[in-house]
Amino acid sequence: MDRTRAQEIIAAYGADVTRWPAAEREAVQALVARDASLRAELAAAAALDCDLALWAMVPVRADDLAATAAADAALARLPAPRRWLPAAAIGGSIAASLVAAVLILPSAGSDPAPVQVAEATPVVAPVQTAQVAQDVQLWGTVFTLTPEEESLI
Amino acid sequence: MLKAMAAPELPDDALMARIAHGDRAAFRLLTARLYGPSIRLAAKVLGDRAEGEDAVQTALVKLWQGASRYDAGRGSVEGWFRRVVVNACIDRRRAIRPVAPIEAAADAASPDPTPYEAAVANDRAARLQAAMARLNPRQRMAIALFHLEGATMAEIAEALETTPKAVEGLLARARVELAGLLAGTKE
Repeated sequence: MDRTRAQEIIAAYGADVTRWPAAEREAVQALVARDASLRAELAAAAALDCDLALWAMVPVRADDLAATAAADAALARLPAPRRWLPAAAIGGSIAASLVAAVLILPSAGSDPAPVQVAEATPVVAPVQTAQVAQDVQLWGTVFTLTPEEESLI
Repeated sequence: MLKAMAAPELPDDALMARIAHGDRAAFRLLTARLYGPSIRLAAKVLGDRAEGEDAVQTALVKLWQGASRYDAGRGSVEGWFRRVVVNACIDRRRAIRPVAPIEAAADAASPDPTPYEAAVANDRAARLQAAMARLNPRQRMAIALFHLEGATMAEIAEALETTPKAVEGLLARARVELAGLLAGTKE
């Protein structure tokens, strides 16, 4: 223990001996006892300790009500959670999409002439049926859930 | 969901595990345990109750989001959360500017006719708060942890993610600066 180390301890820890490092406490006290300038530094540190103690004593309200409000406020600040539709809703959506595909796809890309559809020749009809089947298969591929997707529902 | 009868006995790390699974009741219970020390520290360090509340809320959001990453083997929930609060306070640079110059704090008079001692005490606390606002955030945090929380050098070092020796230097410089600022405002 030298004078410099004693000054460091007083400067950092203040004048409260009980806060000083236990291993160095007695040695610092012994140095202070025989060094007037160290005693002056200790007195200055004690004055600042008083101000800091006063500052620390100014109360901050921290009751249960405030804690609950803080928890609720923090929860309200959380980003919105990802919401997954129930399986039934997804199944319903897929079924509705398939029905819509069956109803809409045959006329897609053709001339908008309902009369002509009624008068369609037998040659055209198999082509349309094949097209619908292909489209339905395509829709089914798009909307069929993978095992990973199903595990998330 | 947390059972009301069992909740008070649950240790902090068990609550953290429940929070990691989205248990809001566990979150509220843990908040009730951690809030007091946190708001006292944040409000003192930032010099403003509202700023302190905002910093603690930021820390609470981080607690909720980071609960699954908490590792009980690396320290207590309290210590972990204190570190989060410390970082939230240090990050709030906007709030660390002094609201009023320290000279104004020295001249400030209480609007209420309080007893002389209370007025003197208020004046000293106000001057110290203004002086604290002049310190850099890490110095201010070190002072608050040491003098407000009674933390050891090792605990402060953990909170500030530095070494105890560095904390000694931080505290020493902070105290010298505080003493100088206060001396400059004394009548």
